[in-house]
Amino acid sequence: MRLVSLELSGFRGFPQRHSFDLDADAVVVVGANGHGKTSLFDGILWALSGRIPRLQNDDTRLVSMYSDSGQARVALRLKDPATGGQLTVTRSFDGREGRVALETREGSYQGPAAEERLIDLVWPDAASASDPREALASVLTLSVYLQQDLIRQFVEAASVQDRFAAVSELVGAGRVTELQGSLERAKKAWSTVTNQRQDELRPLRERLTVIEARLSELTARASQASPAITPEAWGQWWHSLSALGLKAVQVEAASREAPTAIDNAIKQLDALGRSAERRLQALGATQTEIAGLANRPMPEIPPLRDKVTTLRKQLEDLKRVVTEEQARLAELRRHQATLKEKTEQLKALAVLALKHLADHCPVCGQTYDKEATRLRLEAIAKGGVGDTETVPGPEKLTELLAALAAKENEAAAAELALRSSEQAVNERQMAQQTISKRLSELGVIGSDDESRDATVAKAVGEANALIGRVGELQRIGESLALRLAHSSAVAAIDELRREAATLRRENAHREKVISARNRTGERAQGVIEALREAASAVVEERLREIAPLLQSVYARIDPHPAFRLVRFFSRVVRGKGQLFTVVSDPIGEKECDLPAAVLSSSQVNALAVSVFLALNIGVPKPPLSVAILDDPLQSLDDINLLGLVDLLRRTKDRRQLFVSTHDGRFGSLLSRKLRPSSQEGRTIVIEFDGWSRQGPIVVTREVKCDPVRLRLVSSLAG
Amino acid sequence: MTESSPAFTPTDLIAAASQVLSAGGYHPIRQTFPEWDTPTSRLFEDEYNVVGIVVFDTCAELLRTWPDQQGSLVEVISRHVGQGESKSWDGYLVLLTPSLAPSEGTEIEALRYNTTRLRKIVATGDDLRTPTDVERVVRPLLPLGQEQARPSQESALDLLPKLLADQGISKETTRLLIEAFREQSPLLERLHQEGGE
Repeated sequence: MRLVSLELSGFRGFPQRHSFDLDADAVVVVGANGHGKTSLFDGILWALSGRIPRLQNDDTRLVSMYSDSGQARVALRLKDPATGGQLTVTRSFDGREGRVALETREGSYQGPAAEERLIDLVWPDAASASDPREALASVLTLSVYLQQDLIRQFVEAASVQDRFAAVSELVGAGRVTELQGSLERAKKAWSTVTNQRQDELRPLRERLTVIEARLSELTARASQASPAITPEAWGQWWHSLSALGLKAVQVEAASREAPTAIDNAIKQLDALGRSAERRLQALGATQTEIAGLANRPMPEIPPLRDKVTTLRKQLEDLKRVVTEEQARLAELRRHQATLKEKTEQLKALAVLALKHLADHCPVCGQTYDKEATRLRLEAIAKGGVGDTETVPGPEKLTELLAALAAKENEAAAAELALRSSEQAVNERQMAQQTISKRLSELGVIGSDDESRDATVAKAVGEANALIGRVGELQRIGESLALRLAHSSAVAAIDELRREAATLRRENAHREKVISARNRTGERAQGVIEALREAASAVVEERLREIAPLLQSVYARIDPHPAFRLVRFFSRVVRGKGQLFTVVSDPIGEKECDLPAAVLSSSQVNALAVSVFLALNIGVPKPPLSVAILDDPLQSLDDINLLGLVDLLRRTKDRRQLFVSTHDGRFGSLLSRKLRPSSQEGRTIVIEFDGWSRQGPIVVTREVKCDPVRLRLVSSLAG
Repeated sequence: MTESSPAFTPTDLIAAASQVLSAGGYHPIRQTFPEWDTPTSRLFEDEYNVVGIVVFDTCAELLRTWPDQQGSLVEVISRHVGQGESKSWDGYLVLLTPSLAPSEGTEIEALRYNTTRLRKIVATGDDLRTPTDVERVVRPLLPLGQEQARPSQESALDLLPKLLADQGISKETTRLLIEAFREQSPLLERLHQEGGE
């Protein structure tokens, strides 16, 4: 594939549209720095790969600051010399979004389809790369487009690993490395899933362990199990329940419902037994009460009532006597008070009379016995003379009150006795009623006490019998339930054995699957290890194939008087490939894998260009039959420069050659050296004569071949 | 001046150089030009270059007489190639001697870097120890096609079955993996199936 033309607009140093005819064996681009040489070559790289790694793949840097449209656009036309088929790739970027289109003889493609088809046409080997465009850009950068900024990077700055990776990509071993990487990732994912499967197996194994332990336990118990239930015993028990009036539903002993049914039946029996016991307790209590009632004496109420009546009458009489006596004593106390008042008055009069005692009565004037009167008055004044009389005291009342109290006590006692007797009678009647009611509730009815007692005694006997029967049936039922449980345990053992067998099969199957997955993982690891070696082997093989060419190219420049041999040396360290560029002195038998240590800057440049051209020419399936060298003549001394130019001239015979230089003299040298060797050949010189905001001033001219191909030979022939 | 025993005779060198240049597409100029008439010299031409080869017995002779040889070759070129023709700038003088001359090493090296009038390609017995060394010395004048590597056209992935087989991986396994890789199919599943798992 060769380049035919390039159209740039708004792209880097080309703000306005510029078209370039590139359909030549050699294109020499001459221009001062900053006039657009690198932009021209970047346009080719970007059109092909959509990437310019040197610019960190930042497309916003591609749009020219002076672009009227604000859009960078590149259209590159290529052709296949073998078929004559042409294709045009057009790529644009408007500052936000990139577009790509591809025109071929077969049809037009846009977007991803265009990218895919372009890769397929230019570098099919990149199609299987994780990032085909990146892989293509890498290969183009390493073997097609030697960029001015990166001219020495490969031999000087790149790490041995990066160098190995770059060459791996170039010689196709990049696919091997990617296969290895893919396989490593796939194996990791595979191992993760396998480990998950392993983890998922753990619950199954734990379940199996539990089941086996349970099985062991049940099996040990089953060996001590009771004899099996006979249908007769089973049926008889259920019949007995029916006979007791229980509504238990009989099921088959071997049925799954049997444990539940017998459990329900035993519960009914238990309820019946408890009911019978409560009845027995009630009957027993009633019997006790009847017996207590019979032993209790029946008091005589009428005599007690007569006595109370008598005592109440006597008490009333006595109270009346007491009242009368109390009235009499009151009257007597009033009389005595009157007398006492009179005495006091007399004493006052006596005192007055004594005070005024004279010979004659002041009232009547009569004479009187004064002495006797005085004595008399004095006696009255002293209170010793009056109408006092002796009256009976309160002794009689006291006696009466004592008698009254005694009578009241007697009457109260009699009334109490009466009330007690009446209460006892009432209580007996109530007890009788209660007993009757309770017996009625218990269904025990007797016409009289005697028959009632017998009936109660009979009921007690029946209750005792029922309790005993229920207890017996409970024991039998529990025995049946236990035997039933043993039977269930045997069934459970069978079930567990089946489940254990299923789990063992499942476990074995899964272990087999996991084991198979592990084997696959181990095989993958083996392949991975082998691929590591293989990637290196591929690189070594390819480099071994390229080695003579590299030496040939290097020898053409022959930059160093002693270090005249060059070779690649690769090795794998800890799974990572390393690539060294080794220069050696065959005569002095010296060798150095760091060329910059023994070569001058100019010589390193010459070596770098040699490596580039060796890789360009030596790559098995080049993406393009093109070699683009952006200003490779910098820092070269005369001899190296001439050697390189001669080399480029020979390269022109193998590759469509693009070389730029910032030096006009070198430009002249290149155009002369790269002249076509015949009329069929074509060499173009593109000169950038200055640059303005509209872009460079472009002058294109063609270089003619010499008029006579072999001048000396022909002159002799002539 | 001390000189060790040379590996080649001047005749060997002129023959080897002539053979290499002829094989590289150069046309030997059989007839002699009056300006270029030295017994141990040859003149060649291809579409780009005019090459004069001169073999000397010793380094001393080489260092002493090379300017005369250069003058002769320049005279031939200027006489027969037009000044406007590019080839008039493309004359090469190849100066060879089988003798070993460590003492003249510096002068020889200086001559190598002398680009006045013609580019000089110089080699002494130090450089010419095996027959292939002659080819290496004149290689800058040869087309690339003569020594271009012929790398395998197989892709690296296609090489893998054989490479991995050497490490115990069956070719069928490798092919299946490569196929899955190209199809972007799950690699381990393919490997698993291939293993009959």
